[in-house]
Amino acid sequence: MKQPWFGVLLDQLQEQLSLDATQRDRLLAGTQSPWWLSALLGLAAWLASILFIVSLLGPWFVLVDGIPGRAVAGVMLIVLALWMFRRQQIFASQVGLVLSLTGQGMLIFLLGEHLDTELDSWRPLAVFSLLVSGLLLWLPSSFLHRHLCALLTLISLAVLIGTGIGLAIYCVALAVITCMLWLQRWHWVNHPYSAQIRALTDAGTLISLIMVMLAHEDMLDQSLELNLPEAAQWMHLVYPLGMGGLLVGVVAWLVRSALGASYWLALGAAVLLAVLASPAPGFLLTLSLGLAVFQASNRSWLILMPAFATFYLFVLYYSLHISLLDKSLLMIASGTFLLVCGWWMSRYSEALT
Amino acid sequence: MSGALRQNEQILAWAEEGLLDAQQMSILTEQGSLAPDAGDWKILLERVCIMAGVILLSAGVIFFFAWNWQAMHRFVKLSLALSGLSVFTALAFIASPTSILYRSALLGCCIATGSVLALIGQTYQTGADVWQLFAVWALLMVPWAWLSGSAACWGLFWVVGQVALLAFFGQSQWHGLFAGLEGYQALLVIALANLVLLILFECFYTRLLAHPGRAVQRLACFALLTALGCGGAAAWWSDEYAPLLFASLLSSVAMLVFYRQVRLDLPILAMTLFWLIVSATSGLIRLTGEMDAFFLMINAVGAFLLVSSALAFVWLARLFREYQS
Repeated sequence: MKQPWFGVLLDQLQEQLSLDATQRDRLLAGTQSPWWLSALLGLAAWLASILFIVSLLGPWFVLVDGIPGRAVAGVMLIVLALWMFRRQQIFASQVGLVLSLTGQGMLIFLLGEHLDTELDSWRPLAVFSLLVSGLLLWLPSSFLHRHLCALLTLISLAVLIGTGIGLAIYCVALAVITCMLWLQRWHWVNHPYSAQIRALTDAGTLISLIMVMLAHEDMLDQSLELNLPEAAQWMHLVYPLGMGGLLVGVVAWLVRSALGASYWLALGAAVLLAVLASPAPGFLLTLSLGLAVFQASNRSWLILMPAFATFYLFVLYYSLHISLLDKSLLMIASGTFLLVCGWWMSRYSEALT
Repeated sequence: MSGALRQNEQILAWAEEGLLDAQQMSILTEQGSLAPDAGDWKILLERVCIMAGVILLSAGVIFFFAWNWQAMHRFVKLSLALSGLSVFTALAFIASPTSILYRSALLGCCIATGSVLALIGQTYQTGADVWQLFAVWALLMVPWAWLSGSAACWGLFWVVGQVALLAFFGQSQWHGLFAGLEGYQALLVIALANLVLLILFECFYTRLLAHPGRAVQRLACFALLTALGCGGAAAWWSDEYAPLLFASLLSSVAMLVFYRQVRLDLPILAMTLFWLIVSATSGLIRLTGEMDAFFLMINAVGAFLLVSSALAFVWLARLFREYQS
């Protein structure tokens, strides 16, 4: 296992920015632990939190009856979570995360109980969740908590919009905004709310990657027995057009400073690919996001993009909007085109650089 | 490219957390752009185009045969599948062995081999079990993966091999006599196969991989520890799994020593500790369950999980900090 880059980077920064030992230590302490390490600690923290919550809520529910009394317990958990986040320790942050999620979940459950909400009318709950998670997102907390609050905020918005063409437009708009945020990362990286913007960008990336599955609602409709509205037919246009346009837009932005012929060549290739891969909007989205996160130097998302692209190939196989033969021919054409592009780049590299 | 990207990612993450201010960021930008340069873009685009091209082309061929071609004669189908394989072989033959095109073409060969096998099975109704199809596919993939030296090819080999082993395990678990092995023996086979792969890659990684990395070793460790860990946890409830508990303890000790003292690998150490905790927790549940004391069980198991995972974290975090600095 070799990781020389981190020490080298710290030494470089110390020299370039004339950092003293305290600042160097702050940078070292401000480094995110790897996920596998956090997961191990998370196991302990989650267990401790669950034991604490059970021991707190058990007697509370016995002593206090009624929805308002129970809601106080939910608010207490959230306040306690905010206090834990202030300690800025990894274990305390994980405990705070569990307390906050439990508190939010409890409040939403109690509101649902109070309104006697049916499964098909989740909107009041979505509004409430949007307000609570949106508020918590802007309060000081941990990296993971901010990300989960951003996810809850965007999911609540999706629930508010409901199924149909509105959701398709929301997915495309989210993908466009997310790509723009990644491409412009340099402009907000020092913003006072950069941590929140980062959380929303990551959440937008994930949600748009998941929601683009709805482009194949025929498949979901059969497997989940959904009764989708008539407007769903327009979605066959919104997703391919939106994601194709996004790819062309991202490429146009990236090559904006290129000379005449190179610019039009890159743009032409993007348009052709957008047309060829239009039956698989998820594939087009992963390409656009992949280019954007590379420009933003985000290695984690860059590694995940091929996994999402492979997943969309499986989705495409089982979707019913075109025949297997059509899918096969389009994939062979797209693959050949990409291979030709790759060969051209390896052959005429100087034209690009 | 990967190193620069990692460094830029870290600098931007520090800036987002407020640890580097705007002035410091502008100094860093003046001394050299922190965004990928034209050379980085060229490498990325070349890789994306060739890898995605090969995968789309091979998947397109598989989709093509999945179409209901009743009118097409089986020899035509086989010829088409074999021509796909030949195209990838020819591409690898003409490409430079150090190029991404070479490795991608060999990845295409690995995928196309599977489609040829599936077509043979479908056309001639060979009656082979699913695990046999995947096992043969994994074996036939070895020459391509070896030639390519690519982690992607070896990764695909590992995935196909695990599918074969899992299908074999499923059959052994439910139809033991038919496959000749019982469930616990099949778990041992899975562990053994991954142990062999792990040893091979630890000893000969410079020959098997063009760009030495740890991905294949970690995948093999993951499967090895999961098979033994599941068996070890089950051993407290069923005596026939006892050999797996013994093997699990033995391999855990060996891995803790090897990956701490000889070749430091923190993710593997974390996996080993995780499965040790799981096995021990299972044992604790069994022992306290026998005492018929539910309250004691909940508290003892909770306290053990809390303390053991916290201690494991503290140790690993210390190693991580030492290693970083």
